[in-house]
Amino acid sequence: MIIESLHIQGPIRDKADVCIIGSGSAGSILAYRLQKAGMRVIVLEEGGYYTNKDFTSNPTEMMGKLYKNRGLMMTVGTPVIPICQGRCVGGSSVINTGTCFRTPISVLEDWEKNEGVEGLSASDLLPHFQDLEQVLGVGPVLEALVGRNNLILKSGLEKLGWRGALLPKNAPTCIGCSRCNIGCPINAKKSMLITYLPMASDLGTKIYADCRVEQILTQRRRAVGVRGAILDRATEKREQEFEILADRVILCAGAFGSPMILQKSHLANSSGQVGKNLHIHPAGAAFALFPEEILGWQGNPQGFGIYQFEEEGILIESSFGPVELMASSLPFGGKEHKEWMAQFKHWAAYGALIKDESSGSVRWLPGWRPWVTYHLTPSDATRIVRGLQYLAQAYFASGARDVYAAIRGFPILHSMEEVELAWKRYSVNGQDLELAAFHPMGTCRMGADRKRAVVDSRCQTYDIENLYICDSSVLPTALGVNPQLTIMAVASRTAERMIHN
Amino acid sequence: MDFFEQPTSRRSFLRLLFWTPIALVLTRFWPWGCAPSDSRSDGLQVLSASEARTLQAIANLSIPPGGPHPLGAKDFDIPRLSEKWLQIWPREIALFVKLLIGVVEWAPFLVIGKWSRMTRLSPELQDLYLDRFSNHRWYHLRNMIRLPKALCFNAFYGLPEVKNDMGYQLRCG
Repeated sequence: MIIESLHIQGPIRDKADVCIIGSGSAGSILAYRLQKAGMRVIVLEEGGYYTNKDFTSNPTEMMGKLYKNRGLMMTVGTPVIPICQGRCVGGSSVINTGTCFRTPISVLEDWEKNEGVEGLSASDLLPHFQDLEQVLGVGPVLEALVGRNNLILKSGLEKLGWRGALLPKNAPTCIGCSRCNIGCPINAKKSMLITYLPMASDLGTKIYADCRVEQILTQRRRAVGVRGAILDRATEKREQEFEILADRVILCAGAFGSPMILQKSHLANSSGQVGKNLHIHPAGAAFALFPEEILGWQGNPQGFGIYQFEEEGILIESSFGPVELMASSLPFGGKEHKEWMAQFKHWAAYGALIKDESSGSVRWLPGWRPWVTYHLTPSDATRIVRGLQYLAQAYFASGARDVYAAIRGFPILHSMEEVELAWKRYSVNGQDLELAAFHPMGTCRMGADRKRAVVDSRCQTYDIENLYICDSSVLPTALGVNPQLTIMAVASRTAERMIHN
Repeated sequence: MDFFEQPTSRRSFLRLLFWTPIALVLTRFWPWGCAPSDSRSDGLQVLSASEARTLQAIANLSIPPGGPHPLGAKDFDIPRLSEKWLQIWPREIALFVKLLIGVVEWAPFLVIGKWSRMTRLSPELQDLYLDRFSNHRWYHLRNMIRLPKALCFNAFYGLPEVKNDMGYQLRCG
């Protein structure tokens, strides 16, 4: 049952065994698993409830409805990085491209060895990955439907001897209309909105949309429930109040929402780590013009990846957005910009994301806007630039005519020889990089040392016995790959452990 | 000079944090500034007439007519189109954008040493001003032009006429 603000007349008082804050990848899976185990579950979601009938091809309208801060959120620091996150029933799974990577084994080993994380080894997570992949239909998109932007580098990679492949997606019936980031209009992408949330709802989970949790209620170091505001969807103004009493509270509000709620409630921060250790997988972009038409907007917007540089922590993925947003990503203007846009049919667009060592922080600000700071370290900046260099090489090996790496003041390149020359002359400066980020994580990190971590390996907070955090914020380090499936697997494992307890 | 090794970047950001509210006050309350007391363009809800003029000027310079696709920003009312973003963004962000537009309007003395508003400069000087602004050595200053420019690009390339002209269409099924 999904209850929206327009259905709510007065203040809400309700009771449950488990109250889950956030309906994204983690919250939905926890809701389904716990409800299936016989618990009464309530899910609270700050964003609105939209279905595929509401999804249009207008990015402005859809970003306003489905994105946090209506699509405009930036990190403060050098460089300034725009960052995206979903804010609707289904969370970021509604607005991501559906790329599903299992957690790299090296990352899981690192968590175990350096952070003391237990029970999240590759073998522990394997059954969860298998189960999730089956429910979500994870597999590569059909080559016939994936679009030319995703296939254009294939020949180049063969020439260079680099590894690359079509990305695994949770969109088994994708027909390649390139609208994943503004809501899949045909429900081909198996987001939480059409999978685990309805499954949980069918079992009896109550899902409240437009409900912003503002405080976690505690008594004698135990969480007893949550309190917050029911929002008007259009204006985000408080309309009513709600209070949910629960035996367990699970925060699944994402890397920004979870620390903000804890900070506002002054809870679970004896380590001083709430809101810190933010990783975002910063990504730089490079665009290429090919002699033939690419029509990059046809097909999956993110369908191909280059894995050759995994050991360096660099992952290159195709990334093609709506024309309005792509136009804004070119840092120059005037005639040069117009000329590039006039050849939009010939564009190929890829990005290089890194497993970042840089970190940032999130702080609560009045109005429930996150204040996000993030400073890119020189070594991360160097790796992004190196990733763009690899990308430029792949473009030229595939027959590109011109390549533009989104680095301020960097020349437009016309041949493979120029790639070498240009990078030799360029000294890396993070301020020159035009970056974007889509994977915030790590702000309530997991670990065995309660002085360095907010939650233990079971996602239980060290300070409050029955308060759990389970979302991207608990991931102790950056992953280096799209985190959706990792978040789901950690949630599934956490639910399993809760049920066994 | 590597900005990572120098504290100047953070210091300059704090300086910016200090000066921008002052700039906001000046641009909003000076009688000839980007104040809400300006008579608003017809139907504009968020932008004042002065801000609309500045935004249109930025758009005209960033998206000139001509080339394979003859349409340019001059052919459209960019401020009105940009308002759809400004209306859906949280109020403080819309205010921040208005502030940035105000800064762009009033910063020619900082960037090219001309004591004039941007919209009163000659077209050649406007072009020079925008170019120098976008490539200014002070990172936080050149960042200020990004959002107004992005708004213009977004408004222009979101138009069905422009999309048709480019052969772009998102189709499903």
